[in-house]
Amino acid sequence: MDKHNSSELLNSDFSLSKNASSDSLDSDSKSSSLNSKHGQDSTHVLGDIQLLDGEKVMGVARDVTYLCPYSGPSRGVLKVTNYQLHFRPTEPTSLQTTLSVPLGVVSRIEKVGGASSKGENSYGIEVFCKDMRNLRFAHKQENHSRRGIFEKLQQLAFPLSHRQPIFAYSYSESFPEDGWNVYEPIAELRRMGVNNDMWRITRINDKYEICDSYPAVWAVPTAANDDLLRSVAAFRSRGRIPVLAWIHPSSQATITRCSQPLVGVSGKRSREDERYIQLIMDANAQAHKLFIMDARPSANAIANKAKGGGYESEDAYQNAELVFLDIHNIHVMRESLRKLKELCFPQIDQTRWFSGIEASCWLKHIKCILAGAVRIVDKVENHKTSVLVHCSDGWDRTAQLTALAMLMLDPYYRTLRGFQVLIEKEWLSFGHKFQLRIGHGDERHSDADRSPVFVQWVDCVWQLQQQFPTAFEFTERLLITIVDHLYSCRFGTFLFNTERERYREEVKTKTVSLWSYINSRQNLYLNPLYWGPSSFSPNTPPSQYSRPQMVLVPVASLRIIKLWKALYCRWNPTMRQQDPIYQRTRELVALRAQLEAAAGAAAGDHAARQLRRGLTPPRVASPHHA
Amino acid sequence: MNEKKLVQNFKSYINVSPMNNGDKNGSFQELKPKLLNGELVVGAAHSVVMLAPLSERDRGRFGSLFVTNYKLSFIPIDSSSNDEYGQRNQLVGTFDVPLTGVGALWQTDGGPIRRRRLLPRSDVPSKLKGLQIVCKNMKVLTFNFANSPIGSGRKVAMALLHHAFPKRHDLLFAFEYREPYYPTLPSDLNMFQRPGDWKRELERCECPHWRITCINGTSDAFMLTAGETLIVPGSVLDYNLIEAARHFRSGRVPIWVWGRPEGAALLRSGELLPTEQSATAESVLLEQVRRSHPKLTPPRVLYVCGAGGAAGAAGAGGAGALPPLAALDAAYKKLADLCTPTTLAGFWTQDSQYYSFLESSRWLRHVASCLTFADEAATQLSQNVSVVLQEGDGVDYSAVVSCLTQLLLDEHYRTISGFQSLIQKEWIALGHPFCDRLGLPRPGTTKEETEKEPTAQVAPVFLLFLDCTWQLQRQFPAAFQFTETYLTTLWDCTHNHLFDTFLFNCPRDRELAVAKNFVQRPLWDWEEQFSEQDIALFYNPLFGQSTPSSRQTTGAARAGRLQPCASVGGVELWSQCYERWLPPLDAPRAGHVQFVLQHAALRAQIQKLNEKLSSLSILSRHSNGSETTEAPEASPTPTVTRFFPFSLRGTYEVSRNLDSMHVSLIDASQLLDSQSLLNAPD
Repeated sequence: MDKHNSSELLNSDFSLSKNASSDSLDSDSKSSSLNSKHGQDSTHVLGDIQLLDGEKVMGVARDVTYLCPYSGPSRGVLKVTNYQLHFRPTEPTSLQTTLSVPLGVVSRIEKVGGASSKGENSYGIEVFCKDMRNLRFAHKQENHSRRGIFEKLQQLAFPLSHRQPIFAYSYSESFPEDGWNVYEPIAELRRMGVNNDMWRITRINDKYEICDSYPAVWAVPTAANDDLLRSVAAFRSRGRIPVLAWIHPSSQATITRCSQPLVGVSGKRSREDERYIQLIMDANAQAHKLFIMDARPSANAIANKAKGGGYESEDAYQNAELVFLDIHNIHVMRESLRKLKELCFPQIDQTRWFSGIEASCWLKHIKCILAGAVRIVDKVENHKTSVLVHCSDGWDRTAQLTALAMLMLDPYYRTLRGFQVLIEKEWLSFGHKFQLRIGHGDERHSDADRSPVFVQWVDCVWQLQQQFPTAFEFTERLLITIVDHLYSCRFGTFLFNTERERYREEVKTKTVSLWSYINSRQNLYLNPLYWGPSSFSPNTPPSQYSRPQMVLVPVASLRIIKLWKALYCRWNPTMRQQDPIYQRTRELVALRAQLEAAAGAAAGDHAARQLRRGLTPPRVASPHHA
Repeated sequence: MNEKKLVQNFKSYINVSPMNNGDKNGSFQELKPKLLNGELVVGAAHSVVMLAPLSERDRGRFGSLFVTNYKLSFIPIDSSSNDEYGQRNQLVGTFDVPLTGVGALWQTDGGPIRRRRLLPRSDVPSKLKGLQIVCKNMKVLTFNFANSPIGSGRKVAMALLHHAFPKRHDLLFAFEYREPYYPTLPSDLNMFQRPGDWKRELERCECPHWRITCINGTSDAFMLTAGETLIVPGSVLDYNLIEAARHFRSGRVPIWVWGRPEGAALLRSGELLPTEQSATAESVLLEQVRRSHPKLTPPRVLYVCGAGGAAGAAGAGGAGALPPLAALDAAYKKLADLCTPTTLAGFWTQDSQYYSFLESSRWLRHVASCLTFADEAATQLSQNVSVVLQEGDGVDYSAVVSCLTQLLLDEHYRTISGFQSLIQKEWIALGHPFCDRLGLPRPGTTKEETEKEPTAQVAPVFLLFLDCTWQLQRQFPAAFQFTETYLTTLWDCTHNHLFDTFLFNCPRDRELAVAKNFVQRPLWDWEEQFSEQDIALFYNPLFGQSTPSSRQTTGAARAGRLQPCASVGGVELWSQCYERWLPPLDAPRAGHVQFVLQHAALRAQIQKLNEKLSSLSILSRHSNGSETTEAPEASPTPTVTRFFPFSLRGTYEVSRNLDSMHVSLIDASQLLDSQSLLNAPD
């Protein structure tokens, strides 16, 4: 492809993004979110390895050929550090094949071919990645040339399987802001107006004794005392009792979340649980009903009875209406994404592209989740009715639904900070099992607990962004950066399964938060077309260009839901967005700011002159931009 | 909560008892369609209910339905301010359809569900309960005559069948329209009608090695479907052209359409006929083309479609050759089926298999193929190699690919005037047979005669071009002066035959009509149809005034060449054009239109600030400051919906009925690969 000649690469920022190997969105993405140091994005020689604080080169293999599926074989040097796999081509003309892949992304590593394999480039290793790509390297067929690097890779990519620490514990870069302070559970509850008459904050789980996968701080109905909470915990799977996720600022309708009740085949009941659900309903004076949204297909919910779980019967829970949202389990989602990967990587089969999308079912699952969240939003917003959401354990589908519904209902979560709070709260503190689902540093690639649940949720957020392009303070670039670091193991944010484990492993003191990194380079992620409140703190006056936000109700139709090519097809250089719309927007916004400043200054000058003449100054621009 | 206040102005009238109607009948007589000069009512029905599209319950509006010699017109009895939301055409009302825009008629039982196709000259039952009209722009109108006087439904249907499918070309309304016309075309619009127009183009492109010949305007004309002016290699003699024309389909020898100052030129030609000397004739002409290149580089021939296509396609970077026109039309019909569901249940059924329907229509593959050919041609031309596009009669796909190539290479054509000039050049002057492709009768012949001729194939070739242009526009949002609203409007106007632009098969037919006092009204006088406000929506606020730095980074400095993503994975369905009439998809503050309006607001703010600055500097100079300057007010951008300006506000329920959405929740088992996954532990 002549689109990628090297002079273009060296001269133009923009073409860099076309050839970048990692984050594909904006002009500085060659160094990308994955291996750039704060403020050093452009200082290194193109293609050279750039080490992070705490990163060390651990192995080097020369005379390696990277078999790039797009630009063909390229010879160069392969290096392995405790953080990344780095390939630098020898030929300056093939710099676009430079690779920098965090080892956290690696799912499995295999040897390809043997010492006696025939054919060029038939002997080497193949690296399978969690981010939709595979990398093939060919080695020289003499002296077991791949052995050293293969073993190094195995050790460094799967530190947990080799009793080594994760890289995040070696990484020591410091940022102006500590991202660990982004989320304060009490402050967030206060923002929503808790404590109030109906809801109270409790620290009953301070030692994680009631529920080891829940956070230390909960909000529960004021009328429920601690004894009741303990009894309810006994009737809910893994003690995950219904607690507050979100409360409507005016109607007091709530979204609460929990796990399935332990009904079992015999149809056990718990008076305490029933009373507790009634208290949640009573906490909302506007409705005499409560919707229980069971995220599962009803068949799965019934099947769970055999394992002691199940769902609330409407006989036992008066005034509650049970709805099944038909969202499938983690295994179905994993299969679906696997099929999507086959479709998107490496080459796109033009003849079966659309039927392939359909066969993967990925977009249909997205549609189900969006439709489920829309139903929750509809009940809370339009019917002022509280909703209780659960699935089996309440840490996968439940988190997807509550976090998505909250994003649709509350414009705060659509800001850069609010979004971080949302992830910290609904995903991290409520114990989505990131370690199990992603398998950080673990070589058991076929572990049945792995599943792209969180990525799927990020995809849903992207769908919302696509449908409502001015409703989010951040762009899709933030989402891609989050997905990159979901795997990278550079930050402590997505390590471990629960708040309790993170506390024990001293994540906050020994690792860096992803939000420290992101908030130190906010400008890269801001949406110049954002039309929401620019700040949610009461002291800042609203920007003159902002408008009150509303509830987002996306259309859950496959005609509107799109494949997120910028994420799933990003390794394919022919599939990239050609001309990012925001570039022009940023120019225009900058021009506006410039003119505002100039106008302000000119008006000031003018006013001063008038003053000297003893005239009353004319009224000029409003104070906050003068 | 703006959107909550949206009035629902669709009332259910279906079950209204006839008694209530009695009162209303009086006022129905008052309803009159707005008629143009020369327009006559030929059929009317009162107390008609127009059903809301895809409404779950039977909702609709009462009114009167008229058929004139120009349009189908529905006049609601209770007009609402919401009717004025969005684009308003001064010639065609919100609920009107020009007769040439009527695609198919269906007889229904009053509701939207059961229906039977009504064909021209077929019999219409006397008790017609309902009528459904599927328009060529994919709008579906459903009328119920349950409350109308008996027989009036039939009358309307008969009038429509008769007038919407005229047998002779001169029965079209353009020949009846009596309004005087005063052209106000922009001066930079090149109509490519006279030799001087082509000369201007040759000079604009700085191509001295080519010459203008008017031989085609004489009795020696050999390319009957093209205009009198042709541009050919400077060294070729008219005599040679006449000789060679015998070997090309429709006499379409390679003719120049565009060129670069460096020497490479873009040419269009028809397919070679299987005559004995045709290959020789072709190579003689290609040799002349080579000699017109200052570096004497031989041209590259791209076989876009035709018998030679199979061999040629392999050369064109693996692009699938374009299909025969009949196959293109079939693809379009499948696409139209996908975009015109008539019931909500049908809508959601399609939704669950949306992507396989999309693939089986193959429409997007044809779009991708056109883009691939254009990208290939543009690549050759940027390497200073001349390109000859060869295809059947040289009037269909070669026009598409040629236009797209020029859009990729020449910034001039990405402006509104330039784009309109391009259409004049490639489609009008070079004779794309619009009558045949749009299914209109040919001038001078009756429709029956036309249909017997093998070449009268209906095919949406022009739409294919607009769709490809939209793909480019989507990929390069700042590169075009026009918006998708402009392209969609252009497509709508293709079916409004008040204008002569898309009314003829070739320039010759147009001249014959003009000789008989036919008044030409080019579509490009947009003020004839739209207000300033609506025309403003044609202009892309992102276009132009780019700072020098961004120019460099986008690589636009290199002659502004756009490098599109031309694979099937990179193209998308043109939602605004095809899906705008589907209310379940519409939503407030959604969609790409928000970008456009936001940027327009941004531009307006910048403009105001500029004005303020200059007024301040004037004030400072004069310093008599009695005036006060106000801060520029952020002009409020109205809350608009996804398909603005085409969606009808109020025709849907804003908090969409969620039970209907549940229909969309697919049967759970459908999503599973195997039962084992269902039973796997959670």
